[in-house]
Amino acid sequence: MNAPAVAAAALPPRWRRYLPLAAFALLALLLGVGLTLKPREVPSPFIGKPAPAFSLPVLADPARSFAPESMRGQVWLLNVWASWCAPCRDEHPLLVALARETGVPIVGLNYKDDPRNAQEWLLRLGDPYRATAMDRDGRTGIDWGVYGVPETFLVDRDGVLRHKVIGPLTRETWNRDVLPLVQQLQQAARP
Amino acid sequence: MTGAASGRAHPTPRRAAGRAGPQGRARTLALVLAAGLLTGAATATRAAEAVPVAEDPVLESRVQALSEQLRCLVCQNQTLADSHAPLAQDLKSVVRDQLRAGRDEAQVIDYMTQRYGDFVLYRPPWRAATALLWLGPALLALAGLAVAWRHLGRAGHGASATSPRTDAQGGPKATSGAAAAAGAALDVAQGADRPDWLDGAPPARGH
Repeated sequence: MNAPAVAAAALPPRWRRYLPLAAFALLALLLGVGLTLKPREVPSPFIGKPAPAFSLPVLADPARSFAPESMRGQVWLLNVWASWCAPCRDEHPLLVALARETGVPIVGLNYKDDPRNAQEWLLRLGDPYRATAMDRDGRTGIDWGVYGVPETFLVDRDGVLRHKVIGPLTRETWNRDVLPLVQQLQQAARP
Repeated sequence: MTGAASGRAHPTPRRAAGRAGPQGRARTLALVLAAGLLTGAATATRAAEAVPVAEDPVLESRVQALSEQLRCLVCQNQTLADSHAPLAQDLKSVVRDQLRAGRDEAQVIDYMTQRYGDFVLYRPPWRAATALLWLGPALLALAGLAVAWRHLGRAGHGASATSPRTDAQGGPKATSGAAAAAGAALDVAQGADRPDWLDGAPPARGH
């Protein structure tokens, strides 16, 4: 910061009057860039790393359990949702449509929810999930770095996390961010 | 506090209604309950919250100290210790469980940063990317001192009785649009071509 002061003294006098304007422009630029940042979207440090393992009871049949290892060899989505989550309701029709259209398996992680409410939700609004794992105490969510619902993770054939959507998935984010990656991962090195 | 603004949801407060409550109050309550033990049935939920404190004060103070270093991901300007968001309570219980299982503070912090990144650290780590964050205030203070030094030094040469600030504001150039915030920098810039009389008495009439 000392350098500008020295530089200021070296400037021709008639330019010096523009210094405050230049300082203001710089500040405005920095603040403008700051406005485009999204501090609420904390990037996941898991991208490019193996998805954390878990084994949780399945909503439809709590005697059975679901583990991410069972999805090996497939490119799949883990959608974190809850029946008490209003944005999940907005997102739900898209998940139902994607499950029908794309064939990409979607697994639900039912986060801190009452199983009865969750089942009623799926009955009423449709069930896009290959399976729904019940994370009743939210510990698996924490293991995956979940800090709100909904969140959606994209996992590749080898069980590596490739992408995370924070907040409700929309047609726009699907087409722009997720679908190209899904296609790329599906084409890459079929086992 | 809620995720409504960002289009996301967090467990509703009622879910944790029994557990929520300022930490300090809970601790006081715990002491009162522990000392008295008269009202065992009173406010059963709050007593349940206080149990860990009475159970192991050492562990609880470690949990508290660690919670003050970790950021609540929901209320981002609060630490886990300050926040009553259900996720913060959950993360705190994770901290408690891990410490109880014999992990040390560094391991718990590692666990959190592996999942939530450096963002979870309330005190940003010292990295190349955060150097400006850490050094910025000191650099600004130094720059301010340097500017002040130059400016005051120049004012001293003129053996002026008036303050430099009055000089600057009274100066013909300063009125040509200098913002107050940039005043100091401008003063330095003006130093070279400032008329002599600015530093002393106004010119005599008819000069």
